[in-house]
Amino acid sequence: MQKKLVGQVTSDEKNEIQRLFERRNGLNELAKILTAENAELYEKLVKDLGETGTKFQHWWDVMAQKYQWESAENGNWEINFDTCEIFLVMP
Amino acid sequence: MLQYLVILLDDTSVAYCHACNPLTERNLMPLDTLKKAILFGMKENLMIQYVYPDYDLPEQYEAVLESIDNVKIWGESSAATQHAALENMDVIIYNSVPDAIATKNAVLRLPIKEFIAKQYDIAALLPHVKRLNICLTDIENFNDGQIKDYSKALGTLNAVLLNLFKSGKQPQLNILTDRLQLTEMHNCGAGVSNITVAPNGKFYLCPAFYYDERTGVSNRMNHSKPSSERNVGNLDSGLDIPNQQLLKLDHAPLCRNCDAYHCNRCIWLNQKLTWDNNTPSHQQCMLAHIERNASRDLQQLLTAAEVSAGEEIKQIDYLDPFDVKKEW
Repeated sequence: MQKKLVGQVTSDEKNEIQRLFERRNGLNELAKILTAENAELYEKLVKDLGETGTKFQHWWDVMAQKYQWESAENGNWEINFDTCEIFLVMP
Repeated sequence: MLQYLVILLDDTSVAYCHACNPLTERNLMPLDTLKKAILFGMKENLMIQYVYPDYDLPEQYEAVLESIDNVKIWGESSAATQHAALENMDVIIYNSVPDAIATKNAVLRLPIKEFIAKQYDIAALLPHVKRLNICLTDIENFNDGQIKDYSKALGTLNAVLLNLFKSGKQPQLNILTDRLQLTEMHNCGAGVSNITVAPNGKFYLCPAFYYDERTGVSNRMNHSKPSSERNVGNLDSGLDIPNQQLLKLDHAPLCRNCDAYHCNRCIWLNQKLTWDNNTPSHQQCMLAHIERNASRDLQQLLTAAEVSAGEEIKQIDYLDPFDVKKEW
């Protein structure tokens, strides 16, 4: 696996995606405790995971457009929350 | 023995515990008073906890504040939170459930109904916090009809905690994980392990007593001379807590036999609801025992999953120790 530094975002931009990342992780933890009889949790998860996923993808779309990061076929971008750096990861 | 000195930097400093702050006009602690408070803390070897207001302090305060090791307590909307690195904030106080928490240590101040309604959102915060304190702001309104819902909410949090513990993470949630670690009472400690100094340079058992004095709530403990005064000394003449033994556990006949070790045993609520600093209300005891029993459930789940979970918490059949006092 290759990892190449392709850019950096601002601290505010990083905070935004980190909040969404943590929210998505938290919802994934909730999904693990979902049982058949808990319709309340099911409905919440479906709604929240959908919304968070959309916002998450939207952030990457907007940032990629703004910064014009290098991309690669089968590659994906990663962010380092400590440094705000964006890496292109290739298999 | 005193260990902590809470310094309210302003009348509008964030409320971080059960009592809400009714004071809305800024009244910054004068710099000289702040210096005296820090000196008191140094001489008594106390850990300083600054409670910040919702605005930036004048520049000359910075050097004085940092002249001693300290813990900072901020409100979520604090001006400083907007531009300082959030992860460097010591404790942030939230008055609602956020989507994510920026610090590793946070306090959620919530009415019981909101805690129950937002149980899933609170559970979703657990993977990313080091410690989350739930502080219920309307304990006095807790009633028997809420026992089932409160227990269910704790069960939801237990289920998430179990998975996190199994995966090697160990987030702390005061109302569920503290009891696993404790082998003796660890309560509010106002006037015993901690004391508060207000912007007026006077000592109070905790910020709530200062709020009551400032808003003219009559002090029912002053039988001979009715007033709202509640200070227990000042920075010039020193600390003067009358009958301090009446705040301590060994003078609390119910609490000293109780094993809800994590209970807040809030001195201010005790006085408000039972007219005795050292005797908790029925509501406080019920909540603490529901949490204690939920901690026991968590302990059993963790033990079954071969995760270490502290000394065994015994099964009990009561929620208020007052109901079984004759057995002691």
